[in-house]
Amino acid sequence: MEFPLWNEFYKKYKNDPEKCRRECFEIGRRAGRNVMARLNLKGDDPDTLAKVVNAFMREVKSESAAKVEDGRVIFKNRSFCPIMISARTFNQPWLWLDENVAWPIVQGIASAVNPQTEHRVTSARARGDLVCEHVFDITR
Amino acid sequence: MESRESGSVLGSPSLTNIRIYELEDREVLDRALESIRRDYAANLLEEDRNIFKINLKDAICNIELTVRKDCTAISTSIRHPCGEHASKEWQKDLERYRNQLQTILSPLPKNPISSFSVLIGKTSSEREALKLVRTYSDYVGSREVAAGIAGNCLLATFGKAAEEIDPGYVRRELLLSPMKMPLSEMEKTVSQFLNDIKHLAINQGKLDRLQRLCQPYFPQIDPGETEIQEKIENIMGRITQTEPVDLETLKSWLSEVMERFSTVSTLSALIKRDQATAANYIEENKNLLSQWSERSIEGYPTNTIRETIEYSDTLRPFQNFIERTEALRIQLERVSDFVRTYLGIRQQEQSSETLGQQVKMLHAIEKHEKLLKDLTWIVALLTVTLVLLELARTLHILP
Repeated sequence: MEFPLWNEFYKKYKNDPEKCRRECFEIGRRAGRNVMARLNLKGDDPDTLAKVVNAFMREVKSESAAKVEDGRVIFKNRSFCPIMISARTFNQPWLWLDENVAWPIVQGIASAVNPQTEHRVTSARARGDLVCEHVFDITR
Repeated sequence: MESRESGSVLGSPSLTNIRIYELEDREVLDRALESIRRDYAANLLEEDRNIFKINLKDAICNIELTVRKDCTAISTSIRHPCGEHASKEWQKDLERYRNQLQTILSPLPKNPISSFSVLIGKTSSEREALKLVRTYSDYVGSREVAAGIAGNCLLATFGKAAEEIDPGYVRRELLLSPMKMPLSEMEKTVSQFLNDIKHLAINQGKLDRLQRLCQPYFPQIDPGETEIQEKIENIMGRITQTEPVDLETLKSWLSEVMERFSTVSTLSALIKRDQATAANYIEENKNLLSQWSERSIEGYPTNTIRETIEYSDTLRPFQNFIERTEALRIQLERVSDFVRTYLGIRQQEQSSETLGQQVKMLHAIEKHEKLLKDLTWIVALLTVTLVLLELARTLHILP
């Protein structure tokens, strides 16, 4: 799976983050479908979602630690991730890349598994927290 | 110390605002300046594309643009049309200047990397200049944090007001008071100081922006380190167990360790680059400040000393991050060597096992071949015997 360079998003959409989020959501959705097809996954349940998120994270060389807990998928990342490297490499704000690129992609991936997924970021390292935590609730 | 009082006369008061913008904001900046030109077209006196004057009824405003390769500085000064004007109610003048500046500069983008505001007013002695510092401190609502004498001028810096919210860039409130100077000398001295302050603002702004970009990275060393240590512990724990690890697991470990090694090396190099850049900004400002040969006054720390103290802690988090990522990098390098060696041994072991099995198979085949040969001989002998017996029976030799 090929991805555009993270820094290109900032260059292109610095003044239009909303458009960036929309595009990244679509990229995420395509990536999610791609992973599901390759792994031959057909479900729309939390277990499938965790598998898809982990497979995607492995592809982008990030910590793959999504787990199902109490019927929801929780994904925590504390490793040095590609977004933080890209942000520093190109002198771009890490939080901007997270909010407008990384998180919408993750949201898109979840939506490929089940469009009725609510995605929340409950803590973010770019804001100074010690871990990035994504919570996915499949509502239907 | 002097008591805080107001009401004295101030010579040639003026207010200067220096804002620094990053280069990437250049287009927005050009549009904003064009809008200022349009709004004041009737009163505009343009010297060139980068310097223009606006004639207001009771004041004159100079706007100067300095374009550098990576940033743009906009210096705006406002003063009475008569240079020698002595103001009896300078606080009122200042209030008016502030409002006028605010209106003129309102089209400018709200995201500079630094904004320095300098009140300039001529005084006749150090005592009078100090009195001005204290009065101005009351006026801006923040205490003077540094003051010193440089080139027959008193320069004071004011701290943040208690209720000030971080605007997302460096803000400084300064006061520059030339003492006992004729107007022409004062203008030259003030211009030199403002030029220096502009350079300080550029470096301070860039340093602040770099610190803001790097700041979220510094606390990440703790969880990042823990994650890597857990991974290493898990790998080393499994390798040292008696049960051999299969080749596929070893290969995936090696790939994980190498990925982390590459990430940690890159991050370490990036923060090292940032540290060098920050050190460069600091060095430039220190050199500039040292040229002032500032001396202290009335027990205040000089502006040079205050800046130097502020800089002393700036590089520490960079250094700490670099040292810890370097230590991790070395550790990951050793673990990757270890896994690679173990993988090599396991591959060799597996090839010797395979070789052993192949030899055994060859022996078995040889054994079977020999058996087959013997069997063929027996069958051949039996056939010959049977043929001979049949022949003898046909020739009636045998019954």
